[in-house]
Amino acid sequence: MVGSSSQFQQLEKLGEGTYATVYKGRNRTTGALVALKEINLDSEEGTPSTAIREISLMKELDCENIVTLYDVIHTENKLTLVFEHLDKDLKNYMEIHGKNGALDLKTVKSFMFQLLKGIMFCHDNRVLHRDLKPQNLLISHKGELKLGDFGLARAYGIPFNTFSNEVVTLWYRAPDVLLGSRAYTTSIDIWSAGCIFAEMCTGKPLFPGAANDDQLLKIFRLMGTPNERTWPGVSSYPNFKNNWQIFVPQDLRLLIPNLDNMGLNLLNSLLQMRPESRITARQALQHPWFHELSTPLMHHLPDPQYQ
Amino acid sequence: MEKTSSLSISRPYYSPKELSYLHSKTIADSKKVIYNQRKHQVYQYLFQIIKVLKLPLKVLNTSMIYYQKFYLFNIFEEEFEDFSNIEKSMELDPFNVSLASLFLACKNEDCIKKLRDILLVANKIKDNQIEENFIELQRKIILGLEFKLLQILQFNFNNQISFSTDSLVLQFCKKINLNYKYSLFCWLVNFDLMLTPIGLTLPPHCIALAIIIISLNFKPNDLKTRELSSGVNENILDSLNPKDFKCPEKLVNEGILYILDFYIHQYNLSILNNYLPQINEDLNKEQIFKFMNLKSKFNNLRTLNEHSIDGNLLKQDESLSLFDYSISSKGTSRFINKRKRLLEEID
Repeated sequence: MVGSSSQFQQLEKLGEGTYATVYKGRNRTTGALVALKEINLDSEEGTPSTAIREISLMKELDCENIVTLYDVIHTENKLTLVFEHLDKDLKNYMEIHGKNGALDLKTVKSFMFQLLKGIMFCHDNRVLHRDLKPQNLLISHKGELKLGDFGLARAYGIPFNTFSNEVVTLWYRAPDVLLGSRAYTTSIDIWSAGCIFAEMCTGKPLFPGAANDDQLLKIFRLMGTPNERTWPGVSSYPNFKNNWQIFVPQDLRLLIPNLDNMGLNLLNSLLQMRPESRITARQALQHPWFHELSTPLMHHLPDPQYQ
Repeated sequence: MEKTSSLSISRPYYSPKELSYLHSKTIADSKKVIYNQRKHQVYQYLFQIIKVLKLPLKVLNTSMIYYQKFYLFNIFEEEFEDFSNIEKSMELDPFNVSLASLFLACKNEDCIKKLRDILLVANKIKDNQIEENFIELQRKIILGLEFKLLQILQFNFNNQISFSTDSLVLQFCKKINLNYKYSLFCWLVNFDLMLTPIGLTLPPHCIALAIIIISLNFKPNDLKTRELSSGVNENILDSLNPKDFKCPEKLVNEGILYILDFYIHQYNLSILNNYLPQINEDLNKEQIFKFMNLKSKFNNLRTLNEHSIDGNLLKQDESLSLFDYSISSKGTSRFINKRKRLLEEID
């Protein structure tokens, strides 16, 4: 054993979340920069379950498109998670490098490929992220994109009951979750990826709803109001209403004129209203839109059986 | 000088020799029987709580792993010499240790329950008078024990997180098309194994495959069930390859031998005992002889080589010493996930 007291020099504050504060830090031995996520222990419930889940899942996920959890530091009243440090998140990146927030298509393609690779890795390892949004995607100075903040993630398997429906941040929340589905799976992360794809192209969030119903309305306005014909079984969802205003699906091309046909096809596949119609991360990575990417980005996608 | 910081690498599993060594330091010979009795009681206690709170069985499995891991690094003693020190006595109480294990297992398995709700159910089952002051004190004790458990686990929860043994057993049964009786036999064996330290030594998928192999060899056609079962394809066993299940063969073999030893020594106390007739229809002898026959059949299996581990080496291994909680209460304890990273810093 070697000493670890003050092993990390705490630098400036990077952000504050619901249950943690994140600081930039430096490893005094190696000089490497890190992100220190300080978690306050709850006097009623002890260590937050979000922290337990984040640690247990992230320790398992060893992937170049997922932020690495290095260490956990425990003191009497505080828990600190030591993460790999990346310069900024996608939201900052778009503000700084985008044209009114919109990124050039080459960058969008590279980021989408990396985002889908990170998602595929999670799903192959039976983990749902459940909270994908630009603030949770970290970007390095080398243009690498990594998934972070697994506080709401969970492992999925044979479900013992349904999941809580209060998970994904509203703007990136899938319509089936908004309709009250409690049995969703990997498709919820795919919807979020679709929303992020569109946002990178336009610089604006695709569905910036204010509340659950408003969020659904914004989705229906663009994707069309679902009915039993377009989405068999939709009327069985708990939050389904018969009196929704009827909207017909709009052409996404009008909203994102700079995206080519192939890109629009991929976006449509990600933003399918019916969860079972949504493309998987693995299928999305094999979409022709990515074919022009050269190595090292477009290398062989490993079969999950042989990872 | 008092240590104020520590750095350790997480270890999800221990070899059988390491387990014996750790137990020799935490459970006195005179207390081995009482430790096992208490473990049986705790298992029943947690099972009742889990039923009332409608939690899945994997929470019981994980709780039992945490409970047993606690006593690898903490001395098993039930009474504190100074009876006036209620807090200390409560801290030593194995039932409170089990509640802390359950509370943490709920968090890890994403089946969150408020600590207060767990305590209300737990005290009702034990017929404890539920007074507000007592609950508050108990809450404080449980949170202190959770703090200890997290350090003992070194924040490595991976042995159950995505794949609990019970779900893997079911998945493997489906994969090889085992019939109802054989599958139920597997499930019952897994239920029995939750009481044992097998989860501290072997990963869940290896345990699950070992259970399946034992089921196929045991041929539990006389298992008492209401469901009728179709026959089992005799060729399944020959075609089972541990590699197809991503299992190192030696670990599966360790599991097979452990399970057989368990039933040879504790069959009468097992849950499986309630589901099998007293006399095995193949042998026309008590069921225990079937396990003994299998043990002799499997006697030459290749298992882990622990020849290099001797007592002196174990004594030198700092990760096997009793846990010093004073470090993190006065300074910092740091837990690293990967050996490579530890070496980078030491070098």
